[in-house]
Amino acid sequence: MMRTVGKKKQKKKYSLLKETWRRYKKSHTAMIGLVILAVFIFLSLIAGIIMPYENAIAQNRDARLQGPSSEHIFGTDAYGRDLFARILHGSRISLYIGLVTSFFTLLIGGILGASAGYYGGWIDNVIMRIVDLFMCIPFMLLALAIVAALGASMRNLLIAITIASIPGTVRYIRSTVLVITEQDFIEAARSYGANDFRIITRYILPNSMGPIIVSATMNISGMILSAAGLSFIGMGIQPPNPEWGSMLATAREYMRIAPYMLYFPGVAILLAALSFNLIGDGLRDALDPKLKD
Amino acid sequence: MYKFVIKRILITIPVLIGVAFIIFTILAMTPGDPGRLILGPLAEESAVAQLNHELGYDRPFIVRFANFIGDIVLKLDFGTSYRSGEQVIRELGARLPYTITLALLSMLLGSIIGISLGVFSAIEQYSVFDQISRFLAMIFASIPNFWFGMMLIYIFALVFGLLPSYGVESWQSYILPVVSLSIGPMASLLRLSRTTMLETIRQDYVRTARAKGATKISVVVKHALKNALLPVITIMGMNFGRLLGGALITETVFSMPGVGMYVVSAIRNKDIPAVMGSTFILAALFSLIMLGVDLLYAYIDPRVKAKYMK
Repeated sequence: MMRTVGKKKQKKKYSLLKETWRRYKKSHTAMIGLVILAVFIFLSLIAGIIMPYENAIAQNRDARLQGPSSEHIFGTDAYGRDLFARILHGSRISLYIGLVTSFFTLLIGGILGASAGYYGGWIDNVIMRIVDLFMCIPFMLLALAIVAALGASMRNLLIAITIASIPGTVRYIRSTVLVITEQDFIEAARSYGANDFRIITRYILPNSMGPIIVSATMNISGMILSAAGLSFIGMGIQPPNPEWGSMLATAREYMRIAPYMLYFPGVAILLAALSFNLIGDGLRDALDPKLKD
Repeated sequence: MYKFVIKRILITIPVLIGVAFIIFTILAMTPGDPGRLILGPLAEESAVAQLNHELGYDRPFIVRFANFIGDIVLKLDFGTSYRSGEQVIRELGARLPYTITLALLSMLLGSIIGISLGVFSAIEQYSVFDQISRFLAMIFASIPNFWFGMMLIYIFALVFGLLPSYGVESWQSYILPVVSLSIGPMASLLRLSRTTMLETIRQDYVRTARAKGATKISVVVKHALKNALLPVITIMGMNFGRLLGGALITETVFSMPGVGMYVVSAIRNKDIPAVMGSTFILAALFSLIMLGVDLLYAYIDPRVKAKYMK
């Protein structure tokens, strides 16, 4: 649905949002993704209420390494901490990481990518050369180096993942914006004197929103996985904070005697990443003009 | 055609210098200086200062960077590890084969399974096979591969005792790591080859071949496959970069003595030369793979060839 230049006679009330939602609802997997995410969001919101944060980090010598029971739904870890509480609060951390990194990546990557795609010329050249350089370094390695240089903490983890994600986002947004910019109606708008700001805000942005939102959603799952991976090797969120990746690192040491410690954080990460992947997939199918009935 | 090849190869050099600059800049922000890191927290200030001066730490940033590049280009010298005192190049040389083996095998396994499943899914679109493989691809794209690796260890090594859980003594040691690392590319290649195959099948020339009486299989193999797989090659190259990153964690999970585990422990120990050397080698390896992919793509795609043939 391209918003073209000029005014349109209002025939029927048409809402892109409603239409997208209607098409989105058709896919079972997309709805499952939405449900899973809703569950995670709900759990994050009530985590503080039903399971105070102290439960997640309070050590209890007597209750060490207990399997799942009625008292501790997921069991306890090597320090006697309740695993269910840790998983719950871990979901807040993971969602926070996913959303914050995604936001800043989109912001910075979006500005850079759109400038490169829209203005072209030397701006495009300079930006893309730098992006090419960064993309020669594997994502994990780059993020790891940044965390190593700055020190392992939540803030630096966010910075590292954002910086490592920006080059790919710039490339993608640039190509999306480029395709739109080369369309005739943009040239038409320019020819009757529309300035750059107007063109970007009225025509470029609305038309590029679709693919950008889809790719941003699917990137969130990658960011959650990367954050878990970095915390797993100790270069991310530090214990006793209940991040799922670092929980898996501890679980590894006790694999023989307490294998249940391995299941829950891993499944949690899997479900979180899966939900964003399914939602992104569903959004892509819902927004794809070629799949219209 | 040769102009393209030469140009492409020559560009790699400033790219590598640029990559080295980025890594050097990032690591320059690490707190602490080499003298202190080598001699330890209890050493004398004067000894630390002297060592720093010997290592050239007090010289300006650009000079240090130029020396670093000069050492690599002229003497292939990546410096000496702060921790072990060994030549970094020697330690890397011993470890690189393991990482390359792991990465290549994972790429191979992931590609073969991913692409075949993707192509079959496209041919039998909407079938049960298609839906199951799409579902699997979704799951595999969301699994943290270090967790998958640990679950594999638990099932196959601890419970059943079938396969080794660490080290690289025998070829069996590679099975679990390769499987756990391969699911990433497998998932992405499955979805990609399915998409490109679907697009190719809808093309007119495929319909023509079918109308002329060609069977489904022959159409696929002779006509559609080559065109469908062209973009897949480029993505395979990019996936290799992700694979190298994933190898870092997989090697840590399975305690494999490769570059991945080396760089992770070097980072923990703030062993700057080791980190520089490993990162540079991995980035250079990735650049070379991308170079190969670009050249291969240019060679295979008749449209690129036509542009350069006069």
